[in-house]
Amino acid sequence: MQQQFGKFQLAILIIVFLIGSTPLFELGIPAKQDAWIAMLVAAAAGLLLTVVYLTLHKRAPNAGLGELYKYHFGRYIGGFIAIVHALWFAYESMRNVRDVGELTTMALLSFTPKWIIMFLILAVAAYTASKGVEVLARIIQLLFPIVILSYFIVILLVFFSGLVKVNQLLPIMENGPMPILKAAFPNLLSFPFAQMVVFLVLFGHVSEKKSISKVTYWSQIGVSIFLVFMNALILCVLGPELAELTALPLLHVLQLVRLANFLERLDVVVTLLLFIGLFVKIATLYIASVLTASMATGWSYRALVFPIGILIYAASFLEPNNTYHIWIGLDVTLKIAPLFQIALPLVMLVVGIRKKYRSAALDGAQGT
Amino acid sequence: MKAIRLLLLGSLLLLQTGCWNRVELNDIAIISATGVDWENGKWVLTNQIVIPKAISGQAGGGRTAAVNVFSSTGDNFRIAISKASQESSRRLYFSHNQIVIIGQEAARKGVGPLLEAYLRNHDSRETVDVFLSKGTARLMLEQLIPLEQIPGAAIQRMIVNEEMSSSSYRQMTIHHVLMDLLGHTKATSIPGLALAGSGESTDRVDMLSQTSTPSKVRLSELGLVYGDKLVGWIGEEQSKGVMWLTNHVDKTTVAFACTAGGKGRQGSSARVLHSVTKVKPQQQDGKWVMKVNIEAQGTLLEYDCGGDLMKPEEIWEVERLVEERIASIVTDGWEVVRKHKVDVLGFGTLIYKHHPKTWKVIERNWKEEFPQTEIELNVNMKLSSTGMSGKSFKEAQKKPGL
Repeated sequence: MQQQFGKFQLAILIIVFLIGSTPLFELGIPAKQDAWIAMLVAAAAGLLLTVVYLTLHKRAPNAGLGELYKYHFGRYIGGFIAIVHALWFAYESMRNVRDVGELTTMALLSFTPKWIIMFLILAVAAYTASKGVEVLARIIQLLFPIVILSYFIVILLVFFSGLVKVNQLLPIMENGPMPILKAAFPNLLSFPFAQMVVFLVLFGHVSEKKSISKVTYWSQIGVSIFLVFMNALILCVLGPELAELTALPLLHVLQLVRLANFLERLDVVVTLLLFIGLFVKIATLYIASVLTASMATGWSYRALVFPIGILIYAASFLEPNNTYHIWIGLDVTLKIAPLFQIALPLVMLVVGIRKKYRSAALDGAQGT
Repeated sequence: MKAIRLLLLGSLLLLQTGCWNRVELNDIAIISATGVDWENGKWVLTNQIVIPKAISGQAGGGRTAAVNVFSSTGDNFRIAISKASQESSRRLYFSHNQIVIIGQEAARKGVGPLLEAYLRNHDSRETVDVFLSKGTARLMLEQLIPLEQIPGAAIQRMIVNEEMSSSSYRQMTIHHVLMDLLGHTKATSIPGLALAGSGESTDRVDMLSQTSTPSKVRLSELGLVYGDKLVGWIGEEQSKGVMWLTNHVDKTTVAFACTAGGKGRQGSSARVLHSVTKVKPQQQDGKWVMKVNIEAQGTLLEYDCGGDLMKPEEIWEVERLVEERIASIVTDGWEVVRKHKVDVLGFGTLIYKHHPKTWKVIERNWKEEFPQTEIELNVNMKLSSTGMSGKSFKEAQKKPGL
């Protein structure tokens, strides 16, 4: 019997996972003051991809991503793709680990070595991973109120301190729609919206099968609106030029908050959000990696938690510096990501489940 | 087994104490103000550090100054800061810095490196207020200011007070400067500081024991910055015009004369309690015309003219006089900014926001086109009250027999 969680936990998982660290950065800034429109366009496209993911999921309601690959491509090819995808999840998890290291040393603890910061957050994630999906869902449920409350406070304070100038968003579509589309595809679609692909691993663990689609759509729509709003908020405070310059725009915004001569230096809130957001991403991707790898290789889940953790930790030291880290993120990762997020799911959608696995895929559905 | 687990858990706690980045209060020198000067081809960085012992306790200052001022020199800012360790027993701590004063020479050289240092380092807060200084920045930092223990904080409160009560100058933080200079017109205005009085520096605590200090730091003139360099100064009255045009006037006092056209002594004044300026760019016959609409509201403070203020039409008359006066302040300000050819008014940005296509064409030549711009003023003043009395004192004194 595999671990399960409910539909509300799924909703919260989707919300917190997609929020992740996204509002801390000004994504889509190549489109200048239209960044938020690029975000909106990418969010809409992301929703279409989720339709694809959910269609795939319905073909085999109890399967994870590894099994889906097996059902569509056969044992050997499917197994191979599953392993590659598991490695990809581990890689994305490692990127977030490294993000924690880089951002913490850059903005908060400049004398603390990176290895200890990364070790601490990964240790917590590894502990979560060793306990499984159910515990992940419950942890996120615990963190959810903190995240919502913090963002609420942040938004409130920014508005009250009179920093928001809506005319920073003008002129809309200065250079026509092309820069917006260029910013949105593939970069904004790949990160964060198409990261929903990780839920192909997790959907199988949801106990209330019937509500999955509805819950997923609504929570994704809600969180997309929130992300677009945060994007526009940062633009309204910093303007496109400054938003492009700073490494951590939300931190920058909060440093400007000065209320009644005592409410200032609210960096702590951003730090909290940074750690929670990145932790959720690290843990979810870590678990997805372990689950997929375990399905593909047939090794037990518990046996894989530790090796993959070591792999993630070791890999996070490969990049020599922050510039390299960001360069790989933007120029390499975002070029490969669509393969896993768009190409493979679409191929699966077209190919359809192989005849000999058809009954197996549906059996699972009746099994619960 | 259980013991080992507990031990492991316990040892994890040791890692979480955060001792790596500890900052001990008695290891740091808290900086309350920074000054930047340019001398002999080098940046001179002056720091005003707070002496905690002098401001603690009931005595309130006592015999020693609450701050100490020292300078260090270098080819760039951060090297100058790091050189400070050669003459300071404690690590410089910038997070509580209140103001940055840029000396005139340094400002003419360019403030770019300063802004660069602020953007790159997380301990430099962008909520710090920026000032220019007519003399060296160091001289300003050395001045003691009555009522306040820490001069850096005092100057910061001075600009806040000024902004709230007469709006001749505006609080410019590093953030504002950055936004303006990174914007499309690359121009900004920063309030200046000057030493008024005899010129003898008020830099000893015993000088504050007199009822009047020989000299004092005051806000004086507005520095115009283009690119990253200071290009000129404009006076207080013109600065007011700039504030009106950029919608930074909230509360101010306007002195006006009794006759139309503003001739004669300005014996009356009105207090503006709230004001909104809206500027709309329009193209007319190949020229840009800025439609400036000012809506102000306030009360009468002092009245030296004739007429019975109990009659509505008399109030309209007074409102018209105030409007005329505001219009002349704005026009004065505009004329002087136009002469300097520096768009600190954000007209270019407005054109960019409302007519982005046209802006692309003129952006290159904006420095030449800006002075060609015309403004069309429409001032609307509403007097909501005439204060606690009706006719002016002079009027009331007049007896029918005489």
